[in-house]
Amino acid sequence: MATLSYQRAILGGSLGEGAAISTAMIPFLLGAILISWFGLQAPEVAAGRKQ
Amino acid sequence: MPASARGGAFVGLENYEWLWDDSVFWLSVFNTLLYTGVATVIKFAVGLYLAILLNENLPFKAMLRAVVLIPFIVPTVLSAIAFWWLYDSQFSIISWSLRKAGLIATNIDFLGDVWNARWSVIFANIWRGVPFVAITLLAGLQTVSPSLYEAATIDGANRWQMFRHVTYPLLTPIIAVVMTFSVLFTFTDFQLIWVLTRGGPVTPRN
Repeated sequence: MATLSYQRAILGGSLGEGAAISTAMIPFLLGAILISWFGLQAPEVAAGRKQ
Repeated sequence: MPASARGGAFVGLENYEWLWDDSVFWLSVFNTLLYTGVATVIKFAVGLYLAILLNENLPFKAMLRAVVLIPFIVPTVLSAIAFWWLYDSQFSIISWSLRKAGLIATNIDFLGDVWNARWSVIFANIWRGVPFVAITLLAGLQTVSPSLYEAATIDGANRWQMFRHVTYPLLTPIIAVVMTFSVLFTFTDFQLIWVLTRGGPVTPRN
């Protein structure tokens, strides 16, 4: 996605399209980070946070 | 009037609407998710194994730890160029070795075939990313008190049980941080893909 964004915005001259692709990465990135952050927390830590 | 001085028309969400119907964009989403998913899982598995190995009392331990860090120290563009040579369709040393060993008849087109290109860039990313995971997890492993292992040994735990019930629970906060950073770096990777494939093969956008 980063490569496509660069190609569309810088090489292709369509800055709007490139920017749209870059910002479209954010939800995917956020989802991946939330899964890796909360999914891999120790069960004891997660339980402690709930209490 | 130069183009930069002309007033622009506000297009709202038109660029996103256009992206929604763009098959190349969805292909790039698939490629990015595949690249991130496969590379991150393998980097974690290999990095954890390497960290446990480096935590043992090995001869030349300090030197081994320094050697493990080399792929991470080398600038990304330089390691990408090295992989570009390794994956060359005509002069690849991998193809040459396999041909000499009689395992293949013709050279492998590492970067010219869609699936070969995907696995090739994933392998290059794994090679580059393993040291970061290994060294960070090694730092976490060194905070685990040896007395816990002694207690587990007295209780009759084998090596797997010690890892599962002592090492892994104490390492999970570090694993969460390492995996978050690993996903972040892999998802936004640009240099490696650009140097190796220019976004190809097939079209310069795939």
